Amino acid sequence: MLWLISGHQLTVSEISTFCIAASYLVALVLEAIRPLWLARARYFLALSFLVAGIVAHLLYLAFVARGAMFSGQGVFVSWADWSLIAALLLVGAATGLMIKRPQNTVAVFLLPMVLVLIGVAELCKEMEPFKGEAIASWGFVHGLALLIGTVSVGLGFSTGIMYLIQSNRLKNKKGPSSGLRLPSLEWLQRFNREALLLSAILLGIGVASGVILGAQPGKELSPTDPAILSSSMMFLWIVGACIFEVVYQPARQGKKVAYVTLANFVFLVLVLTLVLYSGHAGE
Amino acid sequence: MNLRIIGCSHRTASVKVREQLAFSPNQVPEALSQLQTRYPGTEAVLLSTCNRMELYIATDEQDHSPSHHDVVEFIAQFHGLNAIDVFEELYERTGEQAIRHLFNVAASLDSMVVGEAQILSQVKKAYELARQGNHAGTFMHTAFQRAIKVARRITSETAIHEKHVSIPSVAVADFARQIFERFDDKCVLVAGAGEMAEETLIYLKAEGANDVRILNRSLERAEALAESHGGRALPWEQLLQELAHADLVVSATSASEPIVNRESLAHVQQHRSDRPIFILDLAVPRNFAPDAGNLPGVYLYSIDDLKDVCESNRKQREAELPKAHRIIEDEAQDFLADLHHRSTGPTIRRLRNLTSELKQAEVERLFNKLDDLSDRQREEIERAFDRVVNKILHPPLESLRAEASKDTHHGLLDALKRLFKLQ
Repeated sequence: MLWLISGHQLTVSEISTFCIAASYLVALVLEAIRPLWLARARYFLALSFLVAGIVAHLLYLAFVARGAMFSGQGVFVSWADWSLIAALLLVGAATGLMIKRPQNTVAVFLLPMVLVLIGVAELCKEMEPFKGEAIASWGFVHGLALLIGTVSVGLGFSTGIMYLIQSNRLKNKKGPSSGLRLPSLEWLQRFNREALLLSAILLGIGVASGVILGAQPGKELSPTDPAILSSSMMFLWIVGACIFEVVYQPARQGKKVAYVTLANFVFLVLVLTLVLYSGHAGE
Repeated sequence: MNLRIIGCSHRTASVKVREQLAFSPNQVPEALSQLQTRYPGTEAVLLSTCNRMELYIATDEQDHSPSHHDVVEFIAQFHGLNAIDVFEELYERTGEQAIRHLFNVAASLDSMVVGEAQILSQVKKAYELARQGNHAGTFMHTAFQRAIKVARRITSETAIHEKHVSIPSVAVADFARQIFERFDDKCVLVAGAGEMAEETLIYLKAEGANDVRILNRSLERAEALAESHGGRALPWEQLLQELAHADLVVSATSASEPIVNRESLAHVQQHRSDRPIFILDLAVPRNFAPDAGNLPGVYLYSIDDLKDVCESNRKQREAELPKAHRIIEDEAQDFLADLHHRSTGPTIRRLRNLTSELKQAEVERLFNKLDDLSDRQREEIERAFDRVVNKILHPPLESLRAEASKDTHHGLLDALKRLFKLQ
């Protein structure tokens, strides 16, 4: 935050992913200690750290994009950049929810995922950037749809966890505690469903654009490629869950949607791991 | 200025006595007018709620202030009672004690349910009624506006008002709000038409519930409740059918056995496709079989579940009391110091006028003798006289201010008046 206030000329070396993660970590700690420190000052301090982190995050990505443009590479064409953009979208959602629902503890469930994504970005820093079609138009659609779909699955996962905790608390007749005030079950269920539908649509676009990419002349993507196989299975699973939800009304209610979004997340982690290690994006 | 409070509250008097001494909103202006006719120059505010009746009286001079006995007699006469019968029931608070009491009352620290929000609006209303009838003067304005400010400060700086403590308010605010985001699109089913059902219905209506269906074994009573609070009265036989539509159920019938068991609720839940249902079973004995709460999507709360939260909330409110009392003490000290300073104002003003007149006379006499002075020299001489007067007055006035802040200034004020022959 200090270098943001001082206003001196920034260089990319001065904003590291460590600075960004540290801002989010402080915000997470401030949100987590809500039971011990209820004052409004804590809320505003946490929000300030989040906003400072977002500004640093945006500046960092802008520097990365400028560097890539100067070197003639495509913009945001590496796993590290992809993870950082996903983290930025998630932290944006966390900040928006924190402003819209200041009485609720929401950021505590989203920020750990943001930190994990920043950690993944750091681990993938040395990996080769995507090449060829991966950065051309269909490749861009493919990557972007899967990126937003991943964020949507992540949001569904965290609201699913919140739903299960809230439902469990209410079943056990626990009143609202000042420390952990979750949104209502009705809101969580609606958010959960919307996240599920959005992820189905985006993953559908991702898979379809992947098929188009694979059908291009000179391209020989094997259907037995573990990344293609697992992401297709995941897409089918989500579509199946959505159809089941529309057709069978009880599936729309309560814990069932929450369990589906948790399963989606586990699936997603598996798919991303396979994609990462199969070198699929590089092809 | 002398402030005196004569009254009774839930702490000192029984409901019967409070009912006898209560003033209806229509009686308040009449009572204040009668009091002022009997004791001219008296400022008065009358606060009358179901838990307290207090008459706040302020006069400029102690000698003109009606005594404790006078006020009790006035109250008793107004209600057609014998003063001797109610004298012991009415307490008296005067001076600093009265100010602290007013602040405590406005901030809801003296209420039956500590922290309830209603009392502040009742205090405001009492003050407003007195103001409209010109029964409240400068002192009452200052004291009541300060009391309202203190109450707001306590609301914002402590958590004393945050927790709900009554069963219906806890049920709606602490539990129903955790399940539902809004109530205007929910179907509320009320089984029973008793006091508890009615009170909970009032809270739900305040939260925006529109679709309310009331079932009672006596359809007339259900209709009466529907008429007074809005809703639809339905025959008791439609209970299970209505359960299938309801999102939120308030059950407070006097049935001696459960009216809904696990099997019938499971059947209802099948029809509802496991849509979540929030059931407030406020009846003793319970209206819903306890094991029905284990069904998926069913959130069942009995009065005992809510009582625990009420008790815990009450304890949390009580834990905030020391902080609230500290604020009251700070504000009372500040208000009293301000008040005492104000009481020295007229004497200080008279003293300054006297010394100014003396100085002016001496300056003019000197200027008449020294008629060849330039304007600048005259100005310098006048300033020198001002400095001498200020330096002479500074130590006694400082001492007076210091004494005034401790309310021990009366002797010094008297001495000043006598020494300088101030009228």
